[in-house]
Amino acid sequence: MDAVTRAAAVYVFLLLLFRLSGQRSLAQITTFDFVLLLIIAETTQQALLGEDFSLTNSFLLISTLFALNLGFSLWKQRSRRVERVLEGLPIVLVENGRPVREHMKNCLVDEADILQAAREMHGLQRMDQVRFAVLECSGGISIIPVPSASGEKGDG
Amino acid sequence: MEVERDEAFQRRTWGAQRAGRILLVLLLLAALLGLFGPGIFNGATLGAGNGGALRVAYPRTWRRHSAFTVRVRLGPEATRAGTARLRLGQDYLDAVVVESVHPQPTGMELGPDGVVYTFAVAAPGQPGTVTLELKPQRAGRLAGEIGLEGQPPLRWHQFIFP
Repeated sequence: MDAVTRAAAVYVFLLLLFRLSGQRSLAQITTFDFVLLLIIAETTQQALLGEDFSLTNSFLLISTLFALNLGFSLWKQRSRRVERVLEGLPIVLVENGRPVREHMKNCLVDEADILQAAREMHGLQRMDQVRFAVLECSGGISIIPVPSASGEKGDG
Repeated sequence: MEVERDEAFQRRTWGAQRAGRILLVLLLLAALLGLFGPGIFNGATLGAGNGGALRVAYPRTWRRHSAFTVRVRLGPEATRAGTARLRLGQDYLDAVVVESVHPQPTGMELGPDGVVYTFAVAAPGQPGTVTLELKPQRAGRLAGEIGLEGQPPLRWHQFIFP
């Protein structure tokens, strides 16, 4: 298989697998995800280069990857549908203080993850201080705290 | 809060993710069993029934640029003359690189239909095994062909994944 085909195949394959594992895998900070990312980088190197270590091969591979990236970005810009399929949609995990269990289960997110994001972003201590929690397309969880009457954060 | 929502799309996405994950697991199981290369269901043998003059063991599927082993068992008739002459089909040779032949042949001759390897035999009339390490250079279906000189060859197919 020639360089361009290989690069395209590996790129699309990785894109597919990341979409399969869910949005959370993009922003996870657990040890396994870190190890996974390190090992994947090593495996794809061999898949891309094959037995050809020439400069031409690596320039062709790099160019193909840039071109694909650019191509997908342009395509996403022009089509809302494509953008949704490639990136996904933000998912509401907590609505008006109430956790949406079905969404949490499907996104493989539990309350501990939401509370961690609440502590990191706003210093919140409890679930009832969270008004909205949204799983963004980037994989991070953003928190909108309950506005407190006295204007102070975190204490109720 | 203004957030783009589409329940139907979300459900379809989650459904597709679940199906995709199951497919992934099934593919990995199949790989373990030998679909893409080494595994218990991957080996095949040919020629067990024809009086034992020639028997070939080869993998049904393998991967490009990765060497596989073909074991050729020569029966007593093949070694009776004191030397054994084995022919590898040209189409097969065109698709693979012969990494090693064990034992080392005493001669390799060019023929119209492939290359003929000559092996010295220590005990004429006794069976022996020739081991070939072959590395496929392209993906797709490979037509394997090995035969004793002057006799109809054994033919088989292997699928090489890219």
